[in-house]
Amino acid sequence: MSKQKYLDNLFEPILVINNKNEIIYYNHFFSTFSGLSPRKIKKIENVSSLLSSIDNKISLDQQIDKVRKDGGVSVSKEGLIKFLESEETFNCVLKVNQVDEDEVLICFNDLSIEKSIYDKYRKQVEELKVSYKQLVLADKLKSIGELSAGISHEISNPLTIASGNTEILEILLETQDDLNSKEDILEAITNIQSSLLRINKITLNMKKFVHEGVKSKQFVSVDKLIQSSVGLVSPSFERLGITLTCEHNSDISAYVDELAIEQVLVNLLKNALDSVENSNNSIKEVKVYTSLDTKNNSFSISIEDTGSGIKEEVVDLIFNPFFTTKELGEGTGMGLSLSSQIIEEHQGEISLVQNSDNGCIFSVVLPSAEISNYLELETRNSNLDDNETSKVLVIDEDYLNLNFYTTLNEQCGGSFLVSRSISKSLQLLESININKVIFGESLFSKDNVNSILAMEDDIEIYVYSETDNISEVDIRGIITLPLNKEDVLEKLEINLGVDDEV
Amino acid sequence: MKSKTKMVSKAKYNVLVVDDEEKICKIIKIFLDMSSRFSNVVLAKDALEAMMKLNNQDFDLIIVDKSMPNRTGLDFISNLKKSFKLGKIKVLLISGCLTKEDALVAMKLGIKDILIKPFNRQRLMEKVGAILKF
Amino acid sequence: MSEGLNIKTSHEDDNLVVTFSGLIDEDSSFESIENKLNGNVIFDFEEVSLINSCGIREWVTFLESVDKGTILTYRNCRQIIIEQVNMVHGFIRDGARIESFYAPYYCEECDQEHKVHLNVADVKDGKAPEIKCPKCKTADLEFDAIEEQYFQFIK
Repeated sequence: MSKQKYLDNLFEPILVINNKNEIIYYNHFFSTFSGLSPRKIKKIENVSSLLSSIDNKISLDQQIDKVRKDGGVSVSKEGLIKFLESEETFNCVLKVNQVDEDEVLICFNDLSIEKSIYDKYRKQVEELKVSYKQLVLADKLKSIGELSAGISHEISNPLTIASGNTEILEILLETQDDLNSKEDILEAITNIQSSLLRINKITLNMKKFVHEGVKSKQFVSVDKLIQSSVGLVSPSFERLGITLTCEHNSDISAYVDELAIEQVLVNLLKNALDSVENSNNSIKEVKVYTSLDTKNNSFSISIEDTGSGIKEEVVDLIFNPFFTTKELGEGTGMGLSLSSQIIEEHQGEISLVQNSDNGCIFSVVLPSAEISNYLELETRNSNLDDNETSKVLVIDEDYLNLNFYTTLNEQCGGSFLVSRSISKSLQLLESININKVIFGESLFSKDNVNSILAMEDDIEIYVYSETDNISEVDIRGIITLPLNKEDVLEKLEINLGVDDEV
Repeated sequence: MKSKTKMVSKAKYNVLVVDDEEKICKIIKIFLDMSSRFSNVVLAKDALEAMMKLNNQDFDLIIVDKSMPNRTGLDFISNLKKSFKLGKIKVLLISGCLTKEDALVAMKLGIKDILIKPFNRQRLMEKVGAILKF
Repeated sequence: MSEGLNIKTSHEDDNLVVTFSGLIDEDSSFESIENKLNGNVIFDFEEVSLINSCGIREWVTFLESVDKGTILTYRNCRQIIIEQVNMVHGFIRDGARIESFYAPYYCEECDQEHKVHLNVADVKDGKAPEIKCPKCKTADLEFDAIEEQYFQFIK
């Protein structure tokens, strides 16, 4: 045994076993590392009983068998182990190699500190991101505070003009009978109207500024949203051996700020992961599924976990900012609060729909893509202006095309209403005034056109250049692909938001 | 109301209204003209025009907007004071919003009162009446 | 649960006693005593529950800021500290003195482990002193670690 004595100088814990798998040598540091004093190590008859793998990533026996059979070296995956009679866990890598006919050398690379620091780092980075977002929001609020001084100044003039002129109107109507005052009256009324328009523009700009937090929305398939969120968290799930399953439903689409919603889903998935990890329930699983609510024009994404649920006394607090069930320094508790803010900005709702010892179900309900898009159009445009913007309905399944039109709306004041299905389009046509319809290739057919015309027979029909069978239908215009702004506006005879009389 | 021993015909005042928003100038003029206490209500759209009017005529009251593009109302009054052109003319400052700093400056300049926009005829007349003491 | 490092100071005759309790790790801060140590200072580790390599790093950095003229004594060093001390240079400053520490022993009669408080003076020739079991009073305790390794710090 003295031949290995020099190994006592190593910083790495190592063992040597003989062909009966008995420990014939261990260096000084191994004793310190494992917490096993010489007395305890003496009692170990077979190295198999020395340690156990907590996450089944390491099997020392298999490694020893392998090097004995094939020679060479065996390096394990990174895994959690603990030693005989101790509860302390170590995150390590084991390296086993055959020294000679009889002896096998086992080395431990302890990565516990590295892992814990890495985890802390990741958590802190996430917390920093959250803090940054809060800072940006606080900064924005401060700007709004500063802005409001400017705005109250801007609004005060048109307000003064409007109210002054209404007083003048009153006086004119009371005191003057003759027709000469008619001009004065009309002038006062015009002054009032133009002042109100001015005020309206100012508030619309305010709204735009406030909503800049939710960046431009895009049409996206809900499946894709879920896939990308899942992709971000699946390594963590794998590492902890917790199953993550998603149900696919390729038909549902959303009109949302993709990154923001992804953030919400990742937050919910992480919470589910933590809940399952910390629970003693035997099943360790998180499920993600979606459902469509056609009656209410909305859809939902649900995240179900098999954790131990949320305590009754805190259930009402979970969406509060700074509320957290985690230890100091482990979580700021901004996740659910920010998530609910994001969902609110999308006119949706996030809630805890089920809570028990066997787990929770969180559900995110969002308005259908068509409704979201329509709401955005309506709030963006001024309803006081004289300009009449005719609405164009685009019926298309292609996400790229849909997002082309939403971008166009931002640029030229919102004339394009977008839908991914005929049935939804018919719904829209019931209550909204539309005079032009653009059909995407996949949804163009004589029947579909007829059902549209049945709602409103003077609607102008437009198709794309590569669509088949267009001769069967009375087409007003053909839009060339790939889509470009000038061509679309020209073909539809739209002059940057102002319609020509047809 | 103070009673006077002598009967005097009611004094008529000359007012200069300075505001870059022409429509507000007009409204103030219409309101002032409705009362019989003003012989001349003159309008100016900025400090420069106001100076010209001041050179041509005497005024009892200047109604000036604080926020004007080239020179603010406070600067205008301050200049008048420094060049001794203000004399006994009283000043009413109108503004959409007034900070504490503005109020302090106004007080130092001897500005009699402030009127926050938007205002109605009654409020305008109350303040003007109080300043000119009628 | 307020984990982390707690630092308390008190006076004992001529000496400033600095008592550490809790964890010495990557989150520990010695700010409260940085640049405040002068004269005779005793570090007491009785209540330290954990120390890791990151903690040692923080400690070594802190120690470098202590005035060179300060006389340091280490007292009641826990086993976990002794184990780390033997691994990394710098925990005990040159010229500093270790007064007392804990060593692991075992009683075969009672089948129980005991952490025994020893003074450095008790260790002669790198050998663990003979101690009687505090519980059964009769048996001799067996030193429950590797002497050559454990007493390395006692030069």
